Amino acid sequence: MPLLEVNGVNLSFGGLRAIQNLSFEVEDQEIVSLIGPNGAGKSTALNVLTGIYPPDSGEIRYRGTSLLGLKPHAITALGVARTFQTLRVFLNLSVIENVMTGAYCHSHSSLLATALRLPSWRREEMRIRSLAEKNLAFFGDRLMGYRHDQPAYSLSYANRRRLEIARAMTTGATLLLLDEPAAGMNPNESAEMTELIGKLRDEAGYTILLIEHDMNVVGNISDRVIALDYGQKIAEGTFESVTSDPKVIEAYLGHQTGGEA
Amino acid sequence: MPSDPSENGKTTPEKGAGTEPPRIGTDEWVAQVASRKRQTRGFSGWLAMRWERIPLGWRFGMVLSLLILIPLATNTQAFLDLLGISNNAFIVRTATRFLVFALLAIGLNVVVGYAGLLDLGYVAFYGIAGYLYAYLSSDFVRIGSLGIDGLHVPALLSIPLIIAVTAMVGWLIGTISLRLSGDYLAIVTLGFGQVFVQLVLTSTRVRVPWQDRPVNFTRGPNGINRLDDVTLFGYTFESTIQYYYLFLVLLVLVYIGVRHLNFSRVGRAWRSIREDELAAEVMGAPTGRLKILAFVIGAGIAALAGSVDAAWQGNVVPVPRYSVLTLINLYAMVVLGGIGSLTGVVIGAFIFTVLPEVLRSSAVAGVLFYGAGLIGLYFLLKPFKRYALILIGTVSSGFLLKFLVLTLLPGLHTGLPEPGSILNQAVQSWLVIPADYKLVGNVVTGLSALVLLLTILARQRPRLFYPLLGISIYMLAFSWETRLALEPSATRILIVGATLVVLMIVRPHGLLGKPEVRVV
Amino acid sequence: METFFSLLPQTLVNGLTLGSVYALIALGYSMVYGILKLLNFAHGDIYMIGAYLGYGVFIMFFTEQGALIPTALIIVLMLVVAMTGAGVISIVVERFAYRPLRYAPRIAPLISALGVSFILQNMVQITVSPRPLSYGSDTLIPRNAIFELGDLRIHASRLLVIGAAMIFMLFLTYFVRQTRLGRAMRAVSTDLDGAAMMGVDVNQVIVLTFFIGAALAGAGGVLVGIVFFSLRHTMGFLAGLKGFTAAVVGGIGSMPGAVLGGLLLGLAEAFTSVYLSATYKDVVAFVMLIFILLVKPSGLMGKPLLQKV
Repeated sequence: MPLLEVNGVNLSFGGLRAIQNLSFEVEDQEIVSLIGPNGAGKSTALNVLTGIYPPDSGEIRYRGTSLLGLKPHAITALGVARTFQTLRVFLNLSVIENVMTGAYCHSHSSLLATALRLPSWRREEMRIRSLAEKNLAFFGDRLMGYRHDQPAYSLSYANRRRLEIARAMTTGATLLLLDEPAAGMNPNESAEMTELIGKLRDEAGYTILLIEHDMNVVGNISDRVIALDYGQKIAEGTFESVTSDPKVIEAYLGHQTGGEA
Repeated sequence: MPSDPSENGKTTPEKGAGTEPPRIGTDEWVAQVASRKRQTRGFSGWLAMRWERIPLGWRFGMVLSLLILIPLATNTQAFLDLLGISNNAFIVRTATRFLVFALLAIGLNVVVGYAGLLDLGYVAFYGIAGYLYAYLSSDFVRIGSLGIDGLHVPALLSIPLIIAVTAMVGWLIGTISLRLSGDYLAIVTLGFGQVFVQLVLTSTRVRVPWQDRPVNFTRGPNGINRLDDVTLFGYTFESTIQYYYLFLVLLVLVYIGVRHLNFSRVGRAWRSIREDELAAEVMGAPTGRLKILAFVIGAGIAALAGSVDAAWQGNVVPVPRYSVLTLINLYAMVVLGGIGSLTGVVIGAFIFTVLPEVLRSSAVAGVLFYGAGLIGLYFLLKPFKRYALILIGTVSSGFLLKFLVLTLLPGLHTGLPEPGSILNQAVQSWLVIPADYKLVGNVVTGLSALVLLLTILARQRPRLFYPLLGISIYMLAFSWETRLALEPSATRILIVGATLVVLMIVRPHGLLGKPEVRVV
Repeated sequence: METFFSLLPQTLVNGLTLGSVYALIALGYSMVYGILKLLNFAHGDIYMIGAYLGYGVFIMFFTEQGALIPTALIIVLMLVVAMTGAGVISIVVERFAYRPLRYAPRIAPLISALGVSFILQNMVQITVSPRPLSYGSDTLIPRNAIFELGDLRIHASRLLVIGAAMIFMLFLTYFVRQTRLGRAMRAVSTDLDGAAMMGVDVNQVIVLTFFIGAALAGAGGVLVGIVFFSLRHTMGFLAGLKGFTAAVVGGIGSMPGAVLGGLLLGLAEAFTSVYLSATYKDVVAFVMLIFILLVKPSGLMGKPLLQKV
């Protein structure tokens, strides 16, 4: 059974058909990339998967459980976590707190235990903190030590992207949906991010659905690539086969007729 | 009260005595911008630094022991002689009011400060709890057919019951208003608060099916009085001092409880909702449930304060105690203290209960008015030489003007019939005060506000600024002596209003609040 | 049922009178909110200032010997002075209490507005009078100036209120729709920073908005004084609350919405007073508010906000 099944999903905003009959699957421990020109519906697809927009029709299953009708937090608790293209870290919380917020869905201390600081609360808080520290340590010395107690707004752009990934990891999800993790990064940082996404799968065992414009990143790590245009899937397969697909080239470069450049 | 450091602050091991400060421009250096900006210089900076070095528990203990000592210390003969009063009942009363408002403000802070919900109906929870206590603990409820002649439920039973019922109302209001966001939430909750007050005021002749005569549910604006005192384990709280200590215990418990909540999963989730609701939801926090929880906890704290407060006061009256005025007061406390900062909120409650009381006496108000004016001017006009020059210039021009008036237009200056204290007399010695000082004072009071604002506008142009400043000082002193000092009840609210505006402009994030970063 | 119909026209007129005044106040709330997203809690007090300025003109021309100039001229003069004065004070308030806080946390200008409200109320209490004042019930418009339409008897003052309010609203609509400054106002309310970058003088537009909103409220103050006679320095509080309610019911930020909300609120109060009980009119106003917002969370004519992810 695939980890994630998307079957015939449709979504329109008024007259605009943002997603049309989209179907694909993601297997366990796979890295799948969604590509496509701006406005192709990639981010919208992610919003549908995480429950922000309910689809008009179709079926979405995670480990066989339907995600339709679930609130975003419930979907996250099931094991699907995401990052945002337009960074949405909690700017005025400290770095470590940002990551610890991700642990809400798998912590259970009651209000009473919290107010009285009972041992059960202490144990859980310790567990959350060490989990957060472990996840931050995944990014090497970028987000280490002295950084933990600084407010998130003091972080650089690239570090905020790393922080978002750490936060998503802390939710305990197995499927990470990364929305343009290398956007706005310089070539060095993109290369580092590529390596990191590979590590997320190989060392930490995450399954990854990726949206990315940087074809170096996509080509280097994707097991499979899905191309979207106008909300429809136009190609699926290996990076080479998809990027050489005429339909994909047309989608990116426009319809080419002889004579006109 | 101690300030709120981020409590998870482990002291970073690498920051020893021997380490170099980070090189300018490196990541570490950039990261420390905030803390460098926070360093304050001068005496107040030194004091704040010393204060923050004291361990948290000690700070807490110091403030607490101060609060424990207030009723005792103010009752000593030396203190009473100092203020020239016969007993400290008024001081203890004000201090108890402070504790009640601190409790209420902490509850409001959970809703507004932590969860970021603009709840303008909060004061209704306080009122509901007060009225429930009145029903459960007085002779008011009389149902002849059931043989009930007044309910007198023990406090140990009634107060938890009231908290539970009020929290249920909070749950209901929270659930209903989840559909709304931001300012619409504000207005619906404001409407809820208004409906409560209006219902209490008007439900005096309600026809009910089970009785022939209309029933008086609330006694309208008169309220319900002769409520029972709180009795816990056989001990009855009667005097204000006893209630003072009861409220102190409650405040400490609630303070600690809320503080613990804030530094836990729930507190983190609340703050993340305030930052970015959608991101919080997607990161696994059930935002709907958490917002309702904030409402419920806020309502519960308001109910605790409201029921014990009703017992202390011995009565409940809808206006002004449960009206929007109290709500405004509470918001002023929370925002002034620094939204989201528990300690700040308690300090805000202190300022806003004590300041209006202090301003009741026009002698004290005068000292505060001129004192604050002199200090404010000093900071505006530093260095000292310029400051002294302006003051001396203004006062001597005043004397010159008065001399001219006395010689050229004798009879214009008559002085006030009752000059007031030594301070007032000193100020009046360089003011020309005509016979119909009341009318002139009215005009000057209005104009002085205008001139003062003009002065602020002209602060970049010294040639205009200094003369205008002198004129506004003269006019303000004049309007204080002829009008403001004679109308203490209106003046104190005027001053409170001016304090609010000035403080918001100087420190929009409150006294202890952290300035927040928002992406526009 | 018979009494229901016999009271209906009179109640409608009463409701429209009250509603026109609420609409005038609501417009100021809504315009300022539309541009700055600021709940201007001092707006009710600006309305009160308008009523008192009108009173100033009134006693200046109404001495013991009677009116010095024709009554109609006095009323016009009262309106002009009240509107200008309220507008100027509102500009001063904006300059000193709100402008420094334009980029502060949302709640800071709210508290500042409350402070301004305290200051205005108590300045009036100290410098004018803490006691209620009156335009006099018979002096401006004689008691017997009544128009009769069948059974319906309408006092001229009510017609004046409804008529004046309608003229102001038509003028405002023309201004916002047709003039260059009106266009700038709409641009700023859509996107303040964007408009600034397109060369709109944002401060000028904001000052203008405050002036117009306050002038309408000032006019409302005078009109209320003419119909209901009594002025108090605390009158702005409840009126401001009602105006705010009307603005929100109509959809805050929307001008036609503010007018609609004001009229609905006025009618609801009038009908409650006549058919239920006058004591419940305030309860009904707020229950209506809660109900409408729960059914239509962004008000009757407000546009729901789109959330961009």
